[in-house]
Amino acid sequence: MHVSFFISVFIFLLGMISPIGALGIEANCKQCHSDNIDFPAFYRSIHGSLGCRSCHEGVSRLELHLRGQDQANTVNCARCHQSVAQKYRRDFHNLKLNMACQDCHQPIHSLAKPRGNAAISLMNSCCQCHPRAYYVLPGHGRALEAGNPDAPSCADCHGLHNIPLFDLSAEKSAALAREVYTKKCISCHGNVKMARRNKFSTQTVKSYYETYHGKVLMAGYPQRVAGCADCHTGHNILPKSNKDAALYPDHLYQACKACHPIMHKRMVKFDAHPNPQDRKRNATIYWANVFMVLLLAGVFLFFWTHCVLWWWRAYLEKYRRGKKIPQVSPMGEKQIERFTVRDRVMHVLLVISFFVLVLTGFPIKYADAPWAKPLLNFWGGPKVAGTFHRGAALLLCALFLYTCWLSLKFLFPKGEKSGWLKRLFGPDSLFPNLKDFKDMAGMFRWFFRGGEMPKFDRWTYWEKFDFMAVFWGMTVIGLSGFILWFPGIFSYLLPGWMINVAMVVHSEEAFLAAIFIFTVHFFNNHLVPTKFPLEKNIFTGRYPVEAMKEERPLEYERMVEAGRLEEMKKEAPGIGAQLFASIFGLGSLILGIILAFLIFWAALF
Amino acid sequence: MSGYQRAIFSFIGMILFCFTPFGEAAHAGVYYITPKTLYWWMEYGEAFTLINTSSYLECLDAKIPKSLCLSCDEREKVKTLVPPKKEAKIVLYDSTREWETFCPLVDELAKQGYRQLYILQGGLPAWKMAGFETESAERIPRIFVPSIKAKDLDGWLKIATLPLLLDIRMEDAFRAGHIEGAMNIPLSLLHRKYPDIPLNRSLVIIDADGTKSLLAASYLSRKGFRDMKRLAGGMVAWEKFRRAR
Repeated sequence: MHVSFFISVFIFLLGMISPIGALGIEANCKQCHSDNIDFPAFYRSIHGSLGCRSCHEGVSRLELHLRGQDQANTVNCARCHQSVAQKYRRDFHNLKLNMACQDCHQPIHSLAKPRGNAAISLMNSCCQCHPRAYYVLPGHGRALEAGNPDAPSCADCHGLHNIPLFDLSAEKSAALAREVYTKKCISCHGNVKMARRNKFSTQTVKSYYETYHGKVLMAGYPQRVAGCADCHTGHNILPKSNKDAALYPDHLYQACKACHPIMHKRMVKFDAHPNPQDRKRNATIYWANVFMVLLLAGVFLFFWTHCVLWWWRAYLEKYRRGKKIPQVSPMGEKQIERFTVRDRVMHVLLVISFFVLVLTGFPIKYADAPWAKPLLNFWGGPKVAGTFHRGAALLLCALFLYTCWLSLKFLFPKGEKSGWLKRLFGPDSLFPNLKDFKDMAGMFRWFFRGGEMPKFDRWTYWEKFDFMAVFWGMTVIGLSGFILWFPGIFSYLLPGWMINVAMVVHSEEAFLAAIFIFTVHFFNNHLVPTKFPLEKNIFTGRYPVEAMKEERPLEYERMVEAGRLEEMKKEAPGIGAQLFASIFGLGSLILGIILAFLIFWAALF
Repeated sequence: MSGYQRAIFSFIGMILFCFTPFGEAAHAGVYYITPKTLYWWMEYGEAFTLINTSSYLECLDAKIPKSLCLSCDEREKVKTLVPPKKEAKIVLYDSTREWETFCPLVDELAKQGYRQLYILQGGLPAWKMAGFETESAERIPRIFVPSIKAKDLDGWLKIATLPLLLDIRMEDAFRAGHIEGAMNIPLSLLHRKYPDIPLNRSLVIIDADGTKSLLAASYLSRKGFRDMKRLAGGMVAWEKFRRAR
């Protein structure tokens, strides 16, 4: 009893001592500072239980302080609010504006705990300086004030005491801000649960990533593409029917013009969120996509079946008869010239330009693939990769135009107009004729042991397909490529949605071309068991007479009959040509197979 | 050489002469220095003069310890404030930006023969970002000053009761382009010239990029100005708005 009584008295006295002390100091402070500080409000404030000297340290002798000689130290909020202070060191307001805690937390001596919704209080605080009309009234701010708990306040996007200063250079800062804020938008607008609650579609995000803007940003290069805020602006988010909305056509035109200075107004019809599966919203894109998918399916179904059956039949044939088409003739024996120097140079240039196009284009097509960014880095980023892509495309166009010129010269030699139809469907032409369809049927019969392998002339039907496909492919991929290269200029001729169509067509046709070359073309010409691993005559230009008899017996007979065989015979390729053919040919083959693997990996997983 | 060839060579020579960067000569001997290097110079007692080239108010507000306050347009003070030894190392920095592009001080120092001029990369923000301390001789408490978008200012300028547009950029920048009717008092002279501003007018304070107007407005509020707004994003935002229009 006695002990507890004394303890109670001790605790009571201890409790009394501190407030008395504090009040004593404050009583002194009040005498001079009550003009500036509302002391009753301070006692009610969040810091009211602390004495003045808790923050205003350093006054040791009152008489000196009264004479202005013993000033208090600068208030250091970090003494108590360490984690906030730590974050605030890198905050924009600190770094650029030198703002201190009390500049936002005003008035500092009567701070109260926020009442009601803290997010709304914060927003109101920010809007003391940042115009409310822009940041709060439309879009997110309005939804927050209406009580939507999903709606973000200022801090949800910008951070609270860690508002980033992305970079000290304005240009880098803009690019980094674009990347960060686009990802912020996507973190909510790509969230399925939030989308369901707030009745918006996550397709918006998916479809953004299908555009050039989205793909390049996804690959980690936000410098030269549009992020969410470039079109929607950061805050003024209203339905596009509203004249103040960023998406209102006039405003959108200005937004596009910021990066595409030469453009027609109709370019705003470009759909930045296209959905090729949505027939109602994007009918033309939908049908373009359907056409390309059917084309791809048809081509690959036919030719992959053809390859598999051929491999199976040739494999059996090879092991039954132990036969391989001879690639090398005995020393000193002359060989047949199949390709001229011009043809070979054109093919080498074609190979180079094709690989450059694939190596620079596919990292954008599959920007989310793990190999995309390293590959773009290899080129020095998407801008440099784009320059190489366009350069290679121009080279390919030049080769294509030259091929067209050579085709015309073949049909009309020395301006001779008569007999062009005969030449077109003749045995030296690469244009398909009736025999090719018969050969194709014959080949399938041979696959299933229903007959002998057809006898071919100078060009087989699959070689003719390769050649003719270039005319389709170059037209489609070339035209769509130019539209994507100069969208602004083409907007004077075409509606904006044609850019979306061009994107679908260019992308799918590129896939068709690359995979066709790396699988079907490689198999037909190099990987088929009778020629494995490499048929070099496209690089050396010549092949043995025995190979000609085996592969193209009709041409051989025709040449013998016409007495032209001897004039086709040339010296066998030298060691240099052989070495070049092996290194360049095998290198291209291996690179193509690796690329095919990477493309399938990205497309399937 | 024929007359035709001579004409071509003369033309090429003329073009090359036009593009010869003679202006660079004034900046010979100007180097960049990182905050970390500056910090080590300070730690190891390297002899150098540190100059904050921002305005007097900004320099009072926050600076790297031991900095001199000598704003870009105070060329005349170079002789009195900067040590006379031409071999002396001089480090210059801005309070809010990477570097003030219109800073005649560098030209002046170079003209007077100083050969070891350094510019602090990233200015004071980079120094702070690196986590190094700053000091404040007399901090100006900030007040809440609403900002106004360029579009709204444009609309506002069309109504009868015009606000006074106070452009606080340096004279060179002001001369290069400004909003019509704006009054120019550079931030570096604001503490001396604020009495020239009429108290009865509402003010719109305009700076280069929106980072200096808050300080100016906060300072002016201590001098009795009440109805103030800031142009959000400064002249950069204004020019962007005009181009879009």
